[in-house]
Amino acid sequence: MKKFTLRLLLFCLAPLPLLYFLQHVIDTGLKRSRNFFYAEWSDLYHGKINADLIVCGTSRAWVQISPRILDSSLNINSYNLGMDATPFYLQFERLKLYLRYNRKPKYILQEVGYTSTLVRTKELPHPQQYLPYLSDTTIWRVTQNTDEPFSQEDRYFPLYKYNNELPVVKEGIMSYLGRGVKSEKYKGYMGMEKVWDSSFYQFRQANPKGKVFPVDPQAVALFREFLDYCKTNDIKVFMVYPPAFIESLYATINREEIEQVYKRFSAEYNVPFLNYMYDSLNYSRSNFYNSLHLNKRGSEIFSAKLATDLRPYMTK
Amino acid sequence: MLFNSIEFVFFFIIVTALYFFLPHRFRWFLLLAASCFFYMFFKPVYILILGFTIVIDYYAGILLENEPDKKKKKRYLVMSLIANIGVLAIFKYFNFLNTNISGLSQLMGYNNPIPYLHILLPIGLSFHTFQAMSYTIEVYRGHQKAERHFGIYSLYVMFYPQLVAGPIERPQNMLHQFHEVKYFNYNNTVAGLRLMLWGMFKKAVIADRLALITDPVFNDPHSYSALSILVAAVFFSFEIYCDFSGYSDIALGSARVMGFDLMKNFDRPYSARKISEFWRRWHISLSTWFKDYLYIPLGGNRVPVLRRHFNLFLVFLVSGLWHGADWKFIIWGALHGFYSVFGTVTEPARRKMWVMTGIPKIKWLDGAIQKATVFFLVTIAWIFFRANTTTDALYMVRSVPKAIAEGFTMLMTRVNALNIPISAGKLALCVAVVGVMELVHSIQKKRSINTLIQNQPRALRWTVYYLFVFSIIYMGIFHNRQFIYFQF
Repeated sequence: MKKFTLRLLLFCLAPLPLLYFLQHVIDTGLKRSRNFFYAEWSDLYHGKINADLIVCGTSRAWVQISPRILDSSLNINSYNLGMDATPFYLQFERLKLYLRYNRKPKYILQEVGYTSTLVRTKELPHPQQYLPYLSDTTIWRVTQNTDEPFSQEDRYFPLYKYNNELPVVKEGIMSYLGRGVKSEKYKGYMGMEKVWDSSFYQFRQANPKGKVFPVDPQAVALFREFLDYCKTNDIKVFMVYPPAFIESLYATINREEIEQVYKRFSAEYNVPFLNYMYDSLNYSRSNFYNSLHLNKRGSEIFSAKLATDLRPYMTK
Repeated sequence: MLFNSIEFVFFFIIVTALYFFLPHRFRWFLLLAASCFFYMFFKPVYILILGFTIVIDYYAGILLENEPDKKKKKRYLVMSLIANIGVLAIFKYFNFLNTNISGLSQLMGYNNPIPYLHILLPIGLSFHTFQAMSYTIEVYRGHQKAERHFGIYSLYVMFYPQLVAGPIERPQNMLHQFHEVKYFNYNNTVAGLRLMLWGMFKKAVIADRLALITDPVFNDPHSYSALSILVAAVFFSFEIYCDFSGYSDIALGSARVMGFDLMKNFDRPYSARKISEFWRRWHISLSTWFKDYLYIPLGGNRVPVLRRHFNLFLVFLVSGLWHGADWKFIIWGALHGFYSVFGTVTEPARRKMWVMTGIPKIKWLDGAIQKATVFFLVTIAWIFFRANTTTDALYMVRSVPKAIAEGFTMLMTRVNALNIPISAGKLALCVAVVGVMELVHSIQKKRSINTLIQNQPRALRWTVYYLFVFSIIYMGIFHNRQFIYFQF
């Protein structure tokens, strides 16, 4: 039995150094990667952003607000930290992390809407983006509050977190070797050259009378906490409700209630609410690739419009 | 507790280590306590049901042995069987029966007043009930002495490796093993771990990976092309084999590490050339249970031909019902019954025609066609087994001819007719892992894998082990996926 136990121990322990080394290579590679999510996390952790204006929000920020246009139009340095499908509390936590590693911005442009800001979900979209940072206590804590938290094995067993993530592993190794794939994002923004898809009509079929998106009191409280936090840190906030295809707006039964919540916040905190709920862009499908997302052309028109609307506040 | 969970890894290490450290007289208690813990990990309260049948069958065994009067003996057996089947009837079949009564009542314009039972089916109920029944039957027949040690008898029913999904053991094979003093045996332990590794690979890397394709298609067949349905059905055949035989391998392996020999449950079933041969290779412990305790008591092969066919069909029908309280399982059983009876009846004529084609002279082609035919028939039956409803299953079966046409068109025009919910790369990986399994099977056909591995230099052996361990850890699917047969 002694012989067996020793051999078993040897069998289990022998590959560990190699596994830890490989994990180090992949983690380091991904932290350097310029690919999709990893580029923004890398910029954030390396304190390379230091922007005057930070765009926060979901994909409605990420694919619709172009820092290139804001920069040239407003003569500032902006950066888009929009995170696809991400609940507001995760956006807020990323902002706090941002402030830990980067210079405080003058302005935060917070995208608001009904799908992520005022509802409380515990989703963790695109969990791959957090993999190289699981040893970071903030990332670990934040991701534990989700529906599908990472496990202790993910955190401590070498490489286990990369289970079935072959493309991510490949990107990590290639980036470590300096051959990673660079995404087409510019300062976190990526315009989508896509044509209108049928997803909205599927939504309409499923919800012929429209849909109510209940305003969650805890989500409202969290948004208040965010505004307080920005106020304390002397950061000026702009709330932006970006364009959405007009039919989808009409399909949102409680749109006025949602609008009122933001208007109340605007008045209470003296925060400008740039509301594009009824913007002219919303009436043409050619500006969108689905009911909630502008395509590249639409997003560039919108970004220019947004810059124009922001200018008066910046010169004050 | 699931075999494919981290909890089981720790559980197994602790129980096995304690088992060898403890003196023999305490081991039964350790294994029984561990088995209770293992079972209660799912839902603690259901251990009471197990306790009930254990107490009944324990005393039934003693009464059966002590009773000289044949009539009384038979009465005791019947009472024990009623208790076991009664538990099955309440927990597994009551609501099914009630649904059918409601349907019939509605047809006749009545309302069924019998209320439904709001209970969950205890995990592995059919398995441990059948194992318990085999004990009382064997004691009744005089093939097995009644077990006087209550703890050992309880362990016979509850032994954790085979508690929730078999193999369904016989008392002659198991009970004496619990009395024997087991010593640590290096080769046994390594062979057991190897078997567990192979079982885990089949479950986590193959079965649960294939489920990524089969689950969405079977859950919503109307959203997929006919070709996708056929592909999913074929993959399900491999999925259910890897899922169930993977479980059996882990069970056999974990028992072997402690020195216990459980009966073999699978023997490369998809290499069968006849449906009857398939059933000699698939879920062997259940097939032999039905043979020993149902088919032979009904008359076996000693009755007239028509009666024999009826008995055979009946056994498959009951086997279908054993799997689940649903018409789809009954249809599944009936299909296999039909295959078997039709196969037997038409065999002489088919053989004559087959010889006329000249194919039997080309041995490999002859074998390949027969195996493919059995695989196809079994796959069609699996559709009923897996589909959510009988209506879905019928829709899927009706799609098969269309799928063949779609596949042919796809080959000719190279226009993709597959809309399965997985990328081409992942599909290729699914095919590759099934290929690995078939490669191992083809080696197994000629020689024992155990001997083959044992005779290799350590470097090569360890490389193979590492390949499998790392495949499981890094390519396995672990979303708390239960074993398919746990539901029975």
